[in-house]
Amino acid sequence: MLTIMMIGIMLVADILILTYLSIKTDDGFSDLSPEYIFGQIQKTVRENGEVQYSISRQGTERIDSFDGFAFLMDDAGDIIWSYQLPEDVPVHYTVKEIVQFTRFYLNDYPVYVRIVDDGIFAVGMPRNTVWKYQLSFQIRTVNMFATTLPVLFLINIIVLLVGPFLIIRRDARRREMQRTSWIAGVSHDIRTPLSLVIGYADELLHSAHGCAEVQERAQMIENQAVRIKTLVTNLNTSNKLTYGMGVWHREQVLLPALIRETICDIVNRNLDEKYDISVAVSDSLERFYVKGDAELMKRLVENLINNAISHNLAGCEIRVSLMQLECCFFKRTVLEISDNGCGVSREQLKKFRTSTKSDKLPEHGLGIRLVRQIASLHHWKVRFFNNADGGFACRVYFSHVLMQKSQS
Amino acid sequence: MTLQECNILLVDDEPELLTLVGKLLKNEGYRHVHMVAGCAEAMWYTQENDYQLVLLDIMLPDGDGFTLFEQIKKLKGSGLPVIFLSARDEDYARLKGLGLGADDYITKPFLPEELLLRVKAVLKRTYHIDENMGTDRIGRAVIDWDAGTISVDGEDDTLTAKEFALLKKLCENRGRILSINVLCDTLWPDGSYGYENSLMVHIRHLREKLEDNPSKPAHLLTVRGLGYKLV
Repeated sequence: MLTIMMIGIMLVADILILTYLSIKTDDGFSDLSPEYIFGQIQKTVRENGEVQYSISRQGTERIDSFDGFAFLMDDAGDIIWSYQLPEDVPVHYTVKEIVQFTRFYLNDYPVYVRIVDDGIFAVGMPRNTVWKYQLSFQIRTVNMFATTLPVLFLINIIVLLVGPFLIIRRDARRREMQRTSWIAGVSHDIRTPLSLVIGYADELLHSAHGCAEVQERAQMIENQAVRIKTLVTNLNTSNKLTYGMGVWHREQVLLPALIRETICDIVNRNLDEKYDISVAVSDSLERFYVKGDAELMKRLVENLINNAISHNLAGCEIRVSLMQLECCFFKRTVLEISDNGCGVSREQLKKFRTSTKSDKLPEHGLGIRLVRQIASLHHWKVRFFNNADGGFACRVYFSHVLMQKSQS
Repeated sequence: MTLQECNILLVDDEPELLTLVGKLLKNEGYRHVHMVAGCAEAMWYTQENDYQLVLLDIMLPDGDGFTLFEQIKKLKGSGLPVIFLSARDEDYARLKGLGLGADDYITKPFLPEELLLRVKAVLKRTYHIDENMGTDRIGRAVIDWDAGTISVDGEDDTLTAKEFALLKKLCENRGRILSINVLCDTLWPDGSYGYENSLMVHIRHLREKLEDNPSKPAHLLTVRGLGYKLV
């Protein structure tokens, strides 16, 4: 859009500049009007029948404004009146000469000729001031031009508009590709060192029998390494979603099973006892299927729970509910993940709700940003708010109830 | 053959990771673990030895794991299980690995416990090692997997097929919560969802056989809304 606007502005600017330059170099040429000048000539017939011609002051001023000259020729080819006629301009002309200068130049002077009652009236301009040629085309050619030129013009405009757009898009795509590859590369390279950190922290955890402090630290190292892994994976996934580089599946996913699996994974990862996760699935939704990418859905649930954990260091209760709510006369299936922790500020909530596209990576809130991106990809509505307990809550409103398999 | 007698070959270009995984497997009781850093060495070891499992990285200094996988399968046949252990987490790599016929695909970083569980699961599945599982103890109860019985203070009780499968799954994941859906999948692998109530019945029967006080279980715990956990 910006490109199209820029091209439009440039075209208008070009037209304005050319118009300005034309006016600047005109030197009164556009005021040259043989009809006007001839109108300033007065014809006087004396008593003896002699005819005299004179020109008004306005007429001479007009001719002087472009250093020109004028003359009137009778039907015999003789000049019967003139003003500022150059010396090298003859005063008698043959038919052949008349035909020649009416079309082109008179002794290299550009002249403009009009047929008047008394003969031929001509206004001339100084040499080398006007490019003057006659052009002639076949009617067929003109017709062809008339039909082809608008099409060519249209094609040119389209090429002008589309060409730069395609080039810019290709370059942007290349940059996005480089960025995605870079993030994917970092995400890949960090995995082996993280394996070692988690592996040795785990070994330390199990070998430090009786030393609670060492065990606690080992557990902390393991937890932080898992957190780094989650962060990098989030960054990678978010980037792929932002630039449309990922390959996502559209499969039928049994949501209650996916929610429980995800929570089991989190709890089984030695989740601190100060966090209590409860799950409530409405009986009618035990067989609730949604269409989408299972990995992304898992990430959505995991990110919301991780968010509750990382923002409530003193511990909290996390409630995960899959339920049906009345929304605008319709029942909609909603996944709510909420906690009774410290909640978030209004500014933070505002940031969570706004889907701004920025080249800068957010310092915080990547997990929530990814939740919004995943919901958007699946056409689900997502809402963030502080609940009655003062804790943070997120609701995901599902748009599709794919199928509910009956028990066979 | 027992699990501990299985020969395992580790192929990874990171010497530190080789040491770590080797140590994990040895601590778990696997006596024969060989570690190599490249394709050529891996092929030589595979020719010279008889392995029961290969753990394979994908990006190796002298080739890629997928090609090595195909060469190993050509040499040893499809019977030798292979698990990919790679930092490549993209769908393409995972699907390619599993599509070639790998028995599992683990992405780095992995939790040590998870790696050991997956290795064990592949070995058990391939060599039917669980056909002769011996016994397990849960509190005062002793489970004889060969006989399919559970005995408390010398009194034997028989496990039904569903109870056996359920208890086996819980024992394999002892200390971990297993979701209702995973347990239902274990008991009804055809995907007959909606058996949550039947699962609860089987759990109750198991508790009657296992627990001193089935109404206040000490070993087979319910995790509300999520599933069950054997401690």
